[in-house]
Amino acid sequence: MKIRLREPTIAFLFLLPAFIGVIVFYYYQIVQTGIYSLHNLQHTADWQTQPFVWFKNYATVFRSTYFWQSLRFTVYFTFMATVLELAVGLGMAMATFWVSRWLGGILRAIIIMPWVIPPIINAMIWRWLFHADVGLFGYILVSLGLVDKPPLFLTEPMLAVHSVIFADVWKNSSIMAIFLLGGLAAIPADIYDAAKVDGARSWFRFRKVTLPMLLPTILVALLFRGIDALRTFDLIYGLTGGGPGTVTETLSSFAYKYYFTYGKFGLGSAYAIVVFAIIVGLAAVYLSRIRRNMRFKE
Amino acid sequence: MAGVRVEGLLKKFGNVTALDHVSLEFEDGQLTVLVGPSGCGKTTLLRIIAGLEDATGGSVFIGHEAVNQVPPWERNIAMVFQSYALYPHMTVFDNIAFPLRARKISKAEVKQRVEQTAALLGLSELLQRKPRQLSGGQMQRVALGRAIVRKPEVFLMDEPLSNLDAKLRVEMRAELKRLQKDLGVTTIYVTHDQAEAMTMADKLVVMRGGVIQQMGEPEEVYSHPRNTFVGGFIGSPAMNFIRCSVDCAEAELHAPDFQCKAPSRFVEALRRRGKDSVILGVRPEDLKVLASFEEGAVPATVYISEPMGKEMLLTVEVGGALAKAITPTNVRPRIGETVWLTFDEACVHLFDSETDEALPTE
Repeated sequence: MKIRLREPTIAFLFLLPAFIGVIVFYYYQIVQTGIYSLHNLQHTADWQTQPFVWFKNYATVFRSTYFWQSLRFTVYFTFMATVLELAVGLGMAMATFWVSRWLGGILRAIIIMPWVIPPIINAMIWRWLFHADVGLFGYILVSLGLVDKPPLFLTEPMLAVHSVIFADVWKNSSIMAIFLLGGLAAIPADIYDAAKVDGARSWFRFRKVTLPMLLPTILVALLFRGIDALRTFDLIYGLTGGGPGTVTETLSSFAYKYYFTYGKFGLGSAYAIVVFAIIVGLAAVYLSRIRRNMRFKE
Repeated sequence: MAGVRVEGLLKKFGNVTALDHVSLEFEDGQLTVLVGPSGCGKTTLLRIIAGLEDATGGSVFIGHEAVNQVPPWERNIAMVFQSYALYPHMTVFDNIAFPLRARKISKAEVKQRVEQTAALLGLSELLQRKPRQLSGGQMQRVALGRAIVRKPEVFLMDEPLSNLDAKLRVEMRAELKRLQKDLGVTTIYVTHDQAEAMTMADKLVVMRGGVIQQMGEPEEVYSHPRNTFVGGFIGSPAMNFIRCSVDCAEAELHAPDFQCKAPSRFVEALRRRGKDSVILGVRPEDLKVLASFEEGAVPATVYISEPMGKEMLLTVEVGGALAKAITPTNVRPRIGETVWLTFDEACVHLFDSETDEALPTE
């Protein structure tokens, strides 16, 4: 027997497995976390047997100074890391794009390397490099005679904050560069030639042609990196553990602590939902803002 | 204003020779067209003159200055690209203003010159639009505007009309030629379209395989092609060629299906050469098609006829090969019918069968 189906029906059937996957593996968890966040839930208990406390967990989150402090740090970290990654990534992309094809291939391979390293390994490498007693950086600074004794990269609050940012920039500039290389390749060669013949020197070409034509790619790359940075967890977990004190605690690492260190699933869930809402909100605002700038690519 | 001269230009891409010691002078104020099939090196030559490509050897002069070491942004040239290469993120105004702004010209003057240029090209209403909101013809005008706005010494045009539809192309061809005459700027124009080349050129340069085949005024190139390639490339439909054996004693040419007297202006050359074969070339417009036999006419079988309005393009089989003839529309032979071909000996071209070079006439 032959079953005849209309095209939209077939399309729907093809999409169904992926759709189910998304529901089961993404949305179910979000909803479940939302439900947890409304209960006073300890990690050993079944949520159905625990008291329903309405938005008490959220109130706790918003009243906690730790929350506001970690929000401040997360925003600062995200801003600094993304901006620096854009600058470094753009530099690497431009350098790779304008050299010969052969050299460009090698540079691309070198650039992608930091991004390939698993985040937690990356954190461990930097933890060693920054280590006050055996770290390479301290050793170099002392050898050069710039300081008397190795700086306390991960225990001095200001240094710790910026060491974390530095490690993130080192790792994630590469993905920014790869993004931007794609954007650069999409600009027709004729446009550069036209600009050269039109009398534009390299800096003028970069400002007036390359950068504006790269803007749509830059905006998307910033969104991706920004969201990633807002959710940063593994780097903090491996590098500082949120310390010294709670200075380098991000929203995500705090949520993790509530879950797995303090075993407060209800409160941790409320934390997670707040982080989720903040990111969705920022992304939505950002997307609606940049839509106008995306248009000339059509 | 300035002329352009290239001397012994050599360009290699790896093992491929794109330009093989090309020497050429583009006269001041003239429109020179470089024409040839794709891969003949014409665009490479243009890009080297623009400075977008470095020559492997040889020199380029703009005016009297050798510019090999001068970057494109310091050569006083403007270029129009096949793709137009408009800046998609800029308005028409900003596109045209770009070359002026790159040279740090004052705001007031930029505005004045852009508006003047826009008026000249009929773009005044479109200045605030972005390229994506323009038609092909309008984009073409913007590209031209960007080239002429800063009054360069030389215009370089790389197939500027190829992306337009046929009708617009013919219109723009005339406009472009008029614009060039009005401005009097030395122009080097690259095209693969021989009709465009013929109609626009003050001087025509036919290229193949990185070598100049012939240069001269279009009429000169058309009526005295220097070899079979030029004969076949310039003129549409292409020249008919047929290999003939030579009877020097009788001054006759023998093709497989017919024979004819060798035109008297070639007799001396044929004798001196002493080879026994030659290539006979006749343009389709020089072939006369007759419905019935006449003295000296050659029989041919009709392969297909294509009416083109005021005339008809007839393809016929002669001696196992296809030949084309342009005839008046009152002759309407059917497929398979026999017709008779004649040609005026004054219109005949003879080429060496080994070198493909045209035989000298007296």
